[in-house]
Amino acid sequence: MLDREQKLIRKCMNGNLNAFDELIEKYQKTAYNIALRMLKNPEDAMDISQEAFIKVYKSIKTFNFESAFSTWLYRIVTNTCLDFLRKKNTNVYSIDNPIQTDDGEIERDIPDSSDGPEAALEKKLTRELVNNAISKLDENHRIVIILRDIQGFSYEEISNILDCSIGTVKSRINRARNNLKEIIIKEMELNKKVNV
Amino acid sequence: MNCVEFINNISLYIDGYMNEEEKKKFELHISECNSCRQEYEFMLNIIKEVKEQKQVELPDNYRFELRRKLKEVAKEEKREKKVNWRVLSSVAAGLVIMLISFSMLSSKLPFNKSEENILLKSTESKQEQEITAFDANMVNGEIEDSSPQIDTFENKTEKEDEMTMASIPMEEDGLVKSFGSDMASRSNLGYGRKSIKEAYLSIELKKIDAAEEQITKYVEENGGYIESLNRQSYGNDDKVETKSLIIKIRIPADKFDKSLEFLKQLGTIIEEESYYNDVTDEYLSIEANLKNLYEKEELLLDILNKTENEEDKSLIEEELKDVKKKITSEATTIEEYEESINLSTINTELNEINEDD
Repeated sequence: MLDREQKLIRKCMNGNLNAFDELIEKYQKTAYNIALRMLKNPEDAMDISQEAFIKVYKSIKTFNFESAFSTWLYRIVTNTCLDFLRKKNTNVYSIDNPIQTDDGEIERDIPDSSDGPEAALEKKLTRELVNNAISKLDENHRIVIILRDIQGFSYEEISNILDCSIGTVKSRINRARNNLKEIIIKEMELNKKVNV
Repeated sequence: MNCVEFINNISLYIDGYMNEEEKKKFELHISECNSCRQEYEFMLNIIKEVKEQKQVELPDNYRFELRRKLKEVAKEEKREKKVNWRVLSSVAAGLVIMLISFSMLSSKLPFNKSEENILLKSTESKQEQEITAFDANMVNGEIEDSSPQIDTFENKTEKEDEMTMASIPMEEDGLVKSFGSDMASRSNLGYGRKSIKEAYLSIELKKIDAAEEQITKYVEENGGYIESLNRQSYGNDDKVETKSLIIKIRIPADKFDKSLEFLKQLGTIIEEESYYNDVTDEYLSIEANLKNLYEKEELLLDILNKTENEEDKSLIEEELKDVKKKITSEATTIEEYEESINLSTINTELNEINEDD
């Protein structure tokens, strides 16, 4: 941890608001973006990410300098987002429960689709397509995609942020990416049908 | 590696969490199996596309809003401390009044029961009024430090132990008054001058090592520390080594004189110089500057809140950025001053005289 940051944190522990302002400045954009991807709208993203920063301020005295400040902060951000989503979604399924759609039930861990990747590669992976697909992921899968692929955190950092083992991180990333792939393939098939 | 293993390991390979051996197996399978290779490339493509998702900029009013919320939180925390004091003092006053009325009863003073009850009731309702007035202030957001009592409560929080029932004079009338004046007398009196103290000593003595030990111990016991040591030893063919040591200590300002006394008795004083650098004016001017900057910041934030025009908003935000920078710089300067004022510096040069001289 940077020496300068350590000094700032100690000042914050004494209640110095200015120091806190300076301390969190470089984390604000990332925190906002994580919230935006998780909650999908800017108003909620602003409210919830700021709620997280306030929690950081209120609980900074409990920071024990054992982990990195950044991962501690992002853990609070992540948890605040997940808590909000859980409260909002009255029907929250565990990752193992099937999703109900108009076409019938789809297992959450989506097995290989009939149209192989070969065909999918021919179609264009547009930014919009990928965006949509990410927002359709289950929140527990969405967060790892956001942390790993969008924000670029290492597996170690993610295990700190999500407070789980690296083994769990590995398997979650694997499942999340697979699900993402399946959603994309489904989207492409739908688009194909529409365009024809 | 078979296809099932391959599919499960795509992420690990892409993220670089494989050892050399595993990597080789993985790459071998890619070259051998077409469908797996396609799976791999597709996944690679997806991840690449995800990585290129752009980060969104913070909304215009994000920082302003967050600062506003944090200030509210900070005020709440302060308020909670203040409320406790108010409640404490009104409870204390209430108890005192009850005790007085009890003592009046027992000493048979010309207060009959009904008058006494009225007295109790009126003081109680007065307290209620005080409390509601306080609550009203809370709703408005700003608590005016109207009475000197609150000031002292804030400044002398360590003295809370002293405000026991015993310390409050038991007079019949003007009881609450004396309670108040007691508080007022404990307030901060006067404004001390702020000076930076520094001294230079040059001492000759017989045993430097022993003296060094003594100095280290003294400094530790008196809440200071050794900032630097500069040691010189040189030898001569037929003479004993002569050593010299320059030791720079930082010691609490109120122990400055006492420390000089201590050091001087270690040996023979060759040279002595003390400096008292009065920095009160500089300090006060920076303090005033800082206060102005904070007020300016508040004002700008207020204006920003009321501004609709985008252009104006960005101009104001530029101003705010500038003010923030200045605040940080002034605040740092004041801290540096405080450090030098609170901890004086003594530079001592110790020169060893050897027996033969």
